[in-house]
Amino acid sequence: MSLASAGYACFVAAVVAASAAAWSVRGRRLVLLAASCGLYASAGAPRLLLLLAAVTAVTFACGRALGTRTGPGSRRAVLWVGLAACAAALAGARAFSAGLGATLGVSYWTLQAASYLLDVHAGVAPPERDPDALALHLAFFPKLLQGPLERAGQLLPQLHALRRPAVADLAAGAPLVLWGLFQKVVVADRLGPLVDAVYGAPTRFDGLPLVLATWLLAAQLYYDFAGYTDVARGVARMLGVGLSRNFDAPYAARSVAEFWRRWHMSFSSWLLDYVFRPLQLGLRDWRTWGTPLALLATFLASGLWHGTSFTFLAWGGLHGAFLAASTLTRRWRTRAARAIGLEGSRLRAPLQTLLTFQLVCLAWVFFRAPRLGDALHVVRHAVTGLPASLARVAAGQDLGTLLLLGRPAAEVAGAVAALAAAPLAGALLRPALEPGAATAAPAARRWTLSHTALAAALVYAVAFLGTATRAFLYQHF
Amino acid sequence: MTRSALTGRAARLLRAGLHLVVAAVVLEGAARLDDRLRWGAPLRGRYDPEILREVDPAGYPRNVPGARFEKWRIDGHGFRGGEVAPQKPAGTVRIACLGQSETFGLYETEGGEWPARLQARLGATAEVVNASVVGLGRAGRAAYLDARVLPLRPDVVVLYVNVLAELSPAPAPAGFAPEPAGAHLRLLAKARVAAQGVLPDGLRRRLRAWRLARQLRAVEATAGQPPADAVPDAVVAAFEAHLAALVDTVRARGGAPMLVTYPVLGDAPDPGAFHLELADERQWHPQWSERGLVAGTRDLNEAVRRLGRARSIPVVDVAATMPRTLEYFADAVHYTDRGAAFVADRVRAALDDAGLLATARPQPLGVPASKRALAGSVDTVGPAGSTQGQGFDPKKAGFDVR
Repeated sequence: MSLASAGYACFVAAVVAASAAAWSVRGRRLVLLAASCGLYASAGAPRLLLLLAAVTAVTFACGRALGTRTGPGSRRAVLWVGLAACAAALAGARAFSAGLGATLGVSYWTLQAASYLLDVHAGVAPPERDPDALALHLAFFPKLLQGPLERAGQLLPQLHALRRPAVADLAAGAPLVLWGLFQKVVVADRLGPLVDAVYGAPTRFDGLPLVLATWLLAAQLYYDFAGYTDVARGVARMLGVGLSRNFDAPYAARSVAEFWRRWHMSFSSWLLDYVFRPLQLGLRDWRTWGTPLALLATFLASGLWHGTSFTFLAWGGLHGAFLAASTLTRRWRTRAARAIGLEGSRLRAPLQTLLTFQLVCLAWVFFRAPRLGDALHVVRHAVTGLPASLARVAAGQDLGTLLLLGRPAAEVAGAVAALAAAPLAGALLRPALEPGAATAAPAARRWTLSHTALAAALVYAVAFLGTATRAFLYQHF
Repeated sequence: MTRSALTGRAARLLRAGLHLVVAAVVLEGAARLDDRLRWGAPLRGRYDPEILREVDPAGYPRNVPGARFEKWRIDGHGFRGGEVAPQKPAGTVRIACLGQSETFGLYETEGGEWPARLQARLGATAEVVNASVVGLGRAGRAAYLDARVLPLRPDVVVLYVNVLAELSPAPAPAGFAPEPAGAHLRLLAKARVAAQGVLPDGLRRRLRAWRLARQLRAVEATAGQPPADAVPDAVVAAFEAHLAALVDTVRARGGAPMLVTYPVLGDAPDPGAFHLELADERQWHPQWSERGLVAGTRDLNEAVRRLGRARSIPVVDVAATMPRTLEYFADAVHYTDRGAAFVADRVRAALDDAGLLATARPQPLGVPASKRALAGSVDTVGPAGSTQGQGFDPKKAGFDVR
């Protein structure tokens, strides 16, 4: 069931009502757990539900064992058993879901189970005593398929004190859901056909269309994933649960490192804590090369998590290489900026943002292209074909292909209008959506008439200007 | 309750009301702006399917020249589609398609109605005029044909008569355009269509069946007698006489008539499969049972064939050949794109077989009085350029297609 469907809206309404009617915290947890399992099974993955139940059982048992055992060797053995179960579940799901085309959230809940075990082993989080709380921590339906990846210390305490959904929760969650749906069905899904037109057959294009499609791809990926996250956070909020933010204007980043602090934040912090830091520690004897190598290895692992094809490996490898190069060339870059007069210049920040965006787009090419050969074609021909295609645009030739990517002008105009409206709407709505972003006042106080007007416009856009909904892109991982 | 608490509650209510008003204004404004950008609709004033047609002072229904609503465009003479010149291009055969909503086109994509498809198939050798009006019944058909269609001096007139409507001919309407309740709120019509779109198919059909059953019970209770399973011979004879008169009129003005039989989805080997679609039609013809509708359709189609044989008029027997599936029918009688393509193909073949594509009549010198009158009736021609309707359902939006 798509999050952007009437069926899902009815499902959420029923779950909110059932949760509000539940007699106790445990009762509410069981309502949410039953709803989560039902939704997961109905997503066409009853076998994955069994796998989730098995991993939950192993994780719970390992967590309890970690709480009772004191010997470091014994604790390490228990930890490895739990991690091996998570890895086996992920690998098994990847192997057996080839026909399904998606692992339907397995990548997310296995990482959450692993982080729970690592936190319990490190003493950061206490071992969970309630199996239903741990099960809900892993299976909570708003974030089951695409995250955010929640840490035990962040989500489990909320599940132990799960309150009855209140009107204030609905009022705070509904605008987030609306904003998420707008990003998904009005912006991302309008960009999709334009991107597909080029990336579906990239060898037919040369120069400017490849550049434009890649920029649009960057926007599509962001609005698709951020849209999902906001819907998930809004629905969770309606149920009295706060989920982590996953995005913070990532394309405004001034470096690739900053990009990763703003993009898929729950996943990048997971990588930082559980992959990069241990690796960095292990490679500390390598001096200058330790950190770059740890970065490279971390992002190669990230690429592998997204998929086992060479394109994902190249995508992860590129980001690793950008970050490694960034740490190795820091002094040189500072000297160069000083030499060309950029240090302290107003131009420096926008130039850094622009360069970072282009580097991220370069990596997105590998993320999106169906084959490595296609990705290499896009990269090579986007650069070599650019002057000729710009000259043709200047001469007014072949504009339908060069600027409209072979799509109808009305479709392109709609996509561009949606793309232009989204940042504006986001900037206007954000202070009301994010507690503490501008003011600590409660949601009802922060909500003004202009917010109502904007929300009404978004309701109209979602209801009448959205396209036929496409699957969320990150659902495939 | 203290005075300050009451004041606080009143202030909260006032605030909530203010937010509701702002939301409503923005939603309605967005709907109007959307119509404006997408269809070129006026920001103010009425905008619903009924702006497309009116009743002529002479008492017959006609399309409003230059009117536009979403994918539907009426030309300066009151015909759907591109502009028709009074003087037909030299060397072409002018084919006028006279019908009702099935020929006018409701559910097809823009340019997908069967006369437009026929034009595409014939190319520059012919000029196809979609001279149909939604709801053009027996009462106004002859007058409309005489005053609006024949002055164009068509070489061929394709008579595609809705035989279901002939089972219970309605009197000439006094007017079409009573503004439906809430029509001034454009958001309501859009919300109605969108709400139907989000319901699962099964649930939507069940709801429709329940609503139809209720309506039919009410109509049957008013009628006071059970619906009939068979159509009296007098009804068939009256239809045949009406059709013969139309044919005579066309021939008298130098045109070649062509008849088309009328397929109904429920006239299938398993009529029960399309019970819902037939029940939908019974709203307009409550005096006939579903069986009566199917039997009546067969009888009147047979009358069409009989007249064709008797007067040596080519008959396009669509009713005998069109597959009865929802691939071809959008409801009991209106076509999908595929259904319209089927009709266009059959008419094209019949025109060929009858040798009617080589019968172009010479245009008289100058513009005759009848054409001057026609030209005088032209209002303004709607602006060009329109995109397809997004699944808009004219019937559901209140377009009375009888």
